[in-house]
Amino acid sequence: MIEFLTALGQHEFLQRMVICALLASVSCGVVGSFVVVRRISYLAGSIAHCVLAGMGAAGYLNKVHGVNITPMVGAVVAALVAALIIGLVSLRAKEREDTVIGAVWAIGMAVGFLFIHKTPGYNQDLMSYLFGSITLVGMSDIVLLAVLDLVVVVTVLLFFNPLVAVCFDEEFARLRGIHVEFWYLLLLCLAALTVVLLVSVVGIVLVIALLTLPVAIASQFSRKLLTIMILATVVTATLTLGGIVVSYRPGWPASATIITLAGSVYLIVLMLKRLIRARPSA
Amino acid sequence: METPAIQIDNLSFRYDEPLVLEDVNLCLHRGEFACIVGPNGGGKTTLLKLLLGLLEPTRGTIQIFGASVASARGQIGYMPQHAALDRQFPVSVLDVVLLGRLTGRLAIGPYRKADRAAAHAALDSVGLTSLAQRPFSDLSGGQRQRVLIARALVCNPRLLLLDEPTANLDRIVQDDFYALVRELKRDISIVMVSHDLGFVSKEVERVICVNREVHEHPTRELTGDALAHIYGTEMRMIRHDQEQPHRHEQEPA
Repeated sequence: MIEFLTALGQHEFLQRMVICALLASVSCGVVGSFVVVRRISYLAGSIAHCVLAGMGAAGYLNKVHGVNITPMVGAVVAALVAALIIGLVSLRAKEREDTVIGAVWAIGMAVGFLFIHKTPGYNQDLMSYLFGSITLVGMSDIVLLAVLDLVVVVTVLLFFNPLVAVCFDEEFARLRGIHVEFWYLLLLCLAALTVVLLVSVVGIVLVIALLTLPVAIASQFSRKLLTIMILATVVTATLTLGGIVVSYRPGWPASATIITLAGSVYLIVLMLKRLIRARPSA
Repeated sequence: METPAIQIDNLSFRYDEPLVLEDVNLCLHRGEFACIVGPNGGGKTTLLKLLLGLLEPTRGTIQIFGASVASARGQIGYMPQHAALDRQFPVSVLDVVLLGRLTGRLAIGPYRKADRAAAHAALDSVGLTSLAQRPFSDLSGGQRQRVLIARALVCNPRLLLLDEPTANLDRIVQDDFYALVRELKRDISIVMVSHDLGFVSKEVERVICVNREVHEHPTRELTGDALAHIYGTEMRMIRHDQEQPHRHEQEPA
């Protein structure tokens, strides 16, 4: 721990990592709670994988055509586009929803893979996009991520009531004159921005666990949405920072360590809860 | 003459090909309590959704208090079947009732004091004041049903639409529910969808039978023949076997 703190003072990449983790924690707790209670983690998963298309395209434009664009900017654009496509499919299309969303998931990855294939030195990039790497996030990106975080949290706090109404009882919300489509698409866009924040910490493939597990842990302790959001934020911050610290010394990949830690904590919490509940009746 | 609560003229509706509702004419006066009955797939829920403006008529018109459905929405209180709601959603009883205070106007930030007061008053009218802060998921079926009535009432509606309000309720809870509806009936027009014909004959003034076409029976005429018309002969046999002995068991107590 002391060793880590010393290193943190010396290495700029560790500082960036910690800042990313803290920023991501806030919107992860807030938006992740909505994603979990509205049961749209599959949609969020699909959005996350479409991010590869944006990162791949940004990397390609940058390296091959010299356009000044970072993978994180590409990620933001791709995530928002994916959120709108998936949202409209989920609201309007007569097709089976899961079929289309599964397809969007894979097509996003395929497009990303094609761009990366056309970009020199693609192997290394692909791995860091998929499983996370702090090399993706430059200091300029930190500003972008901070702005995203602020947008997400302020939006949710201001429009908490209509968002809850649309998530809990869509039909009733519609009857009250609430524009259900608008709020649903907004929620997906917030999820998309949150996904980008999380990709900066753990990469595309592992995002979905970090979006849902802290909320799953938090909802073991509260049945109030606002409390769950706050708890989930604290849990995400603890898990991501914990993962970074634990992985530092042995040189493990931080993203995989964070997710494994999150999964373990979730299982332990479930088991402890069962033990505590079983005791009085025994 | 006073404009009726509901005025339906020559209404027809289809989802795809066959008509679900055909040439429906109906007029419900203010303060009346009507019950929509009919077989599954007969169009009961479709009629309710048309009244709510969730569906658009293929032909014909619906007027509510003399206005279009869209502009009358604010005056309609609606109670869906509680079974359709997510039991695990982390929301308190008060929060659920407060949803009835939302409107299309963009409201930023937390609920206002007046909204909270109205929600508490609505909870009080259904006798659930003490449960305001409890998670919605903790409640029994009957309690959840009453919370949803409070949510329908909290916007001070002039017309109340109830979808299967007594489904999945045991007999005692049903009786509580009927007592509550009887209380409300004094100043609100009520339309409910129900399978519970035992209740229909006792409390309801008008029985509207929906099976593609709409027929109306005054409640005193709701005899075996009328039931046969609604449900078909086979259903009548089943209904009678279930309903009659059941009611005899209950009534002496």
